[in-house]
Amino acid sequence: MLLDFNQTLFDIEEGYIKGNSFKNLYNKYKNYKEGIPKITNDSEALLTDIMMLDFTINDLYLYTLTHKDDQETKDIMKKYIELYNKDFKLYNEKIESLDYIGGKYV
Amino acid sequence: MFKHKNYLPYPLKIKKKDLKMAKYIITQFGGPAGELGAALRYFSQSFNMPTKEGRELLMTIAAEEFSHNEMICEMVHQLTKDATIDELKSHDLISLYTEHGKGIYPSDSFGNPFTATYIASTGDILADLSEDMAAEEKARATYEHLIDLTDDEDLIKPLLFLRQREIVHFERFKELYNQYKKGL
Repeated sequence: MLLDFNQTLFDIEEGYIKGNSFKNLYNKYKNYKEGIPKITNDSEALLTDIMMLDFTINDLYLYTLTHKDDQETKDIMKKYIELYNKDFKLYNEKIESLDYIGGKYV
Repeated sequence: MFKHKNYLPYPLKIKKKDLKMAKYIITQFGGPAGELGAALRYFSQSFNMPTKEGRELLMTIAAEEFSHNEMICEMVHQLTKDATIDELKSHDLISLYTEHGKGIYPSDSFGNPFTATYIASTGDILADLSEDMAAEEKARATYEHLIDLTDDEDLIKPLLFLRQREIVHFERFKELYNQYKKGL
């Protein structure tokens, strides 16, 4: 489900784990290693994908608010929104509702 | 408007009870550099931003900060939910238990309740954005202190995640500040 990222962005998984999608802003603390808890089943894996996408969309959106002419980032964000909506709908249908209407990210 | 989703920004699976860390971490909910103050600060200030993008930036970061409150509260809940009365007594948490049971209450690590005096909203966009940058740095520093106080990976990793968000928010506030300083 991952798209190729450009030179300025971490790939979605690495960005999520680090808490920062932007290579130039990343600031490591001492020698601590980031990571997320071990995923134990398919439902958790799908939910983790949703969480990663949600995180990345938000992080890119904040960026576009101060870089309104960066169309490349807006295009990447749009693709992630499509993936998010697909996964969100799948989770709502197959596993459980993630919000009160099982709705879409807008 | 706000819409709640039934998942956290970052997964939490804390296996070890740790009342001492719970007592410290709660400050990132209701303390002076905490997420509740951050959310309310940016939310309140957003209405006075002179551009659509500026207002949206503050409101979107405020919404993210509310989700970080959810993480902090869930961390404290997971750290304390199985504590016995004797354990609460031995960690000097019995006064908090008397007032709140095992409920989550916005306070600092000393037990002082959250107060709106932690935040400012001056009506001056440069003053407000300067405060926002400082607030992000103070929150980053507090997360570093918390990370230094534990060796539990289940706590360190989400704290590292939250620390990194402060760095990103600082940068976005700085960019907005520079844009406004230059006269848009």
